[in-house]
Amino acid sequence: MPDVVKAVNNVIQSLVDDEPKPPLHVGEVMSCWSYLSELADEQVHSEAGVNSTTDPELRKAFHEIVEMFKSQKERMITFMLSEGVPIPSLSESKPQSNPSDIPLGVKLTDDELANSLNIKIVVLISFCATAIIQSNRNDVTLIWLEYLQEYMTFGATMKELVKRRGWLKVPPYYYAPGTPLKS
Amino acid sequence: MPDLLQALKSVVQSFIKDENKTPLHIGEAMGCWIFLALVGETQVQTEAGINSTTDPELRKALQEAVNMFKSEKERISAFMRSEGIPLPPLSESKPISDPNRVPLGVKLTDNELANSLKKKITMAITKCSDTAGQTIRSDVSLMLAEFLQEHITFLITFKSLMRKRGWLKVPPPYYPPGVQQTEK
Repeated sequence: MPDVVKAVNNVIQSLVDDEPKPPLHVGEVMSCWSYLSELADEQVHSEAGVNSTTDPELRKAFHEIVEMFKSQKERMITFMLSEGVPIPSLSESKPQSNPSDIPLGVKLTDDELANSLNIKIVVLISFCATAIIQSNRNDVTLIWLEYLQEYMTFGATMKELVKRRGWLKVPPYYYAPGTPLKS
Repeated sequence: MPDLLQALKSVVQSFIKDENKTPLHIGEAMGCWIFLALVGETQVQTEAGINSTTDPELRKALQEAVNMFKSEKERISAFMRSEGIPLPPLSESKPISDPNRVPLGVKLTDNELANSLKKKITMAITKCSDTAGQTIRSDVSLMLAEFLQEHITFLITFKSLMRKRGWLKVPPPYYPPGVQQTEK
């Protein structure tokens, strides 16, 4: 985890603590609520992902993200309960199972799994960013900022893995007429 | 399918035919490319969904979604090929398999399957309207409007199924202070 962000967080936190706290507005509550229900879903999907592949690197990535989702879920639940926001019904964890027993009509390939993991990160990053824009209270902004930073850190490592294994989908390159040749 | 929309489209279409077609701009190309990649992946995952459940209503809805994704994939691929945009690498269709043989560590419940399909449709809707906002050429806008309309139409029916089966997650209700209590 990058320490600069932690440091800045601490500084801002000290400033924020003295701020009078108005109740959450409906947008903030909506973000927290839908984010939590989404997190639980994604956690379950990622657990199913761990159970679908035998590739050690991909399993490790899925394990990491499951841990991250779990920790974020806990923090979000604590915050929501302290603000009196009801908790949505959440999906339950999947048991462990053998990846080679899955019928081929359900088993996703490593490529598909890696890309679905990437899509999750993309969706959650934009979710956090939208929530930051909407929130008025600084302590709420900080929560989202923390999540965002975790996704960015994870996403950077993940992108490296996806590139190395040839799972990355690259949009068409931009060739402008008259672009200078690079040697 | 709403007929009014069809009528309007035909009218607009007649105007567009005369429009001078400029080459696609990079935003349009990127939008088409991403949409195709997204629809392709979603189709395969929805097929895996069909192979994971025995619920007839959910299977029917998932099958409808797969058909929609397939037809959209064909239309946008044809368009991209005619415009010279390279296609993204796409996953292949899943074979049919027995839902009861799926290990429990991987099998998603009906509730989870329904919610994940809903989220995928929501994403596609956002993507469509995002790209539609960027487009300059009317034929591209129209194609995206068509996709958008299909997704929204599907989502409306699907949501009522989800509500009926208790799969729909409803955010907390909004009570403004001082709201009039309605007599029961």
